Amino acid sequence: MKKLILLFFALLVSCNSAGKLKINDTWFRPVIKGMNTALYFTIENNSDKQDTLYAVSSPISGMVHIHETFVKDDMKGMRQVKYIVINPRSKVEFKPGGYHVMVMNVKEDFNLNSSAEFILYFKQTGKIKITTTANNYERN
Amino acid sequence: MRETNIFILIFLSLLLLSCGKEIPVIKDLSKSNYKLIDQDSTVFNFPKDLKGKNVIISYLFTNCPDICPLTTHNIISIKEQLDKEGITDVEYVEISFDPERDSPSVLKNYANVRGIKSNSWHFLTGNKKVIFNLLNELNVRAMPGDTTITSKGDTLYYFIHTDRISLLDKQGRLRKNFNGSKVDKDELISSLKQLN
Ligand SMILES: [Cu+2]
Repeated sequence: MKKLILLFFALLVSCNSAGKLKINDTWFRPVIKGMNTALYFTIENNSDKQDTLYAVSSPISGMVHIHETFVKDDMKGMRQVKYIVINPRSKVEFKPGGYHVMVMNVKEDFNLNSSAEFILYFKQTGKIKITTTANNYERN
Repeated sequence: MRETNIFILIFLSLLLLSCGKEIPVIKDLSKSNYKLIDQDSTVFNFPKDLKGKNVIISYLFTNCPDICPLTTHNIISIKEQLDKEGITDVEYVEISFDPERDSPSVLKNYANVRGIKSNSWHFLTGNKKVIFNLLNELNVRAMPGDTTITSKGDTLYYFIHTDRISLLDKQGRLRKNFNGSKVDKDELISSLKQLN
């Protein structure tokens, strides 16, 4: 009986976290082995608590950073971002020209429609694993 | 008589101004010669090898996964539109400002993974000094920005660079500049048509 109750609570907890933080519109750019790609998605926080994305990892790369593209005069560059806060009842979009997950020195080729796995790390929710495909979406 | 001449001159000037949709020349590169190399490791003389064609030029480093591919994709869709309209006397040029890492084969991969196969699409690299002299003439800037040291001790650096697409006319003259990643495609296409 104790075990059952524990299981019940465990399920409840996992349901909660999965339900309140949603990762939508996931995709990454096709890439050749040894080069960099960018991962994009939308984080939707449906809960009343803020959460923080602080890291991303992937079996396809030894180095994955959260990046943002910035504008300086008529120039553009990109730089690392330590974390991103997702406020309660709000959305944060990762898209070309803004936030992106920089996936460096990938271990193999990823052509159009091939898939890869990424793990997003949140302070409250914990890990969220996503599997997504290489694409050439153009959204700016 | 002299007065009449002046009147005619004024009249002609006004006429010119009124139909004055003529796109001004920003810089004449026709006398310049930059010996570069394309994605097939073939020598490419810029702008000589483009003579007689209007040219859409963009700038990239292939380790840039966010802004640069966006510009490339914008040009892909501009090309699709131009092809659809039967406008094929256009050359497409992408110049790397990271020639040390962007070898012809790296550029070829960048093209292949995006399905770019056209003979009129030239990815150009070459001697760093030559490249930067050319970029300077086109008023495009690129400099290494944030540096990251990897766990293996490799140095990673990204460029801060002008986000641009340039339009060169059939005489090798720079005529108009556009934002690269956020280009208004219709505006670029109509400007290109005005060059003809
Ligand atoms: Cu980046």
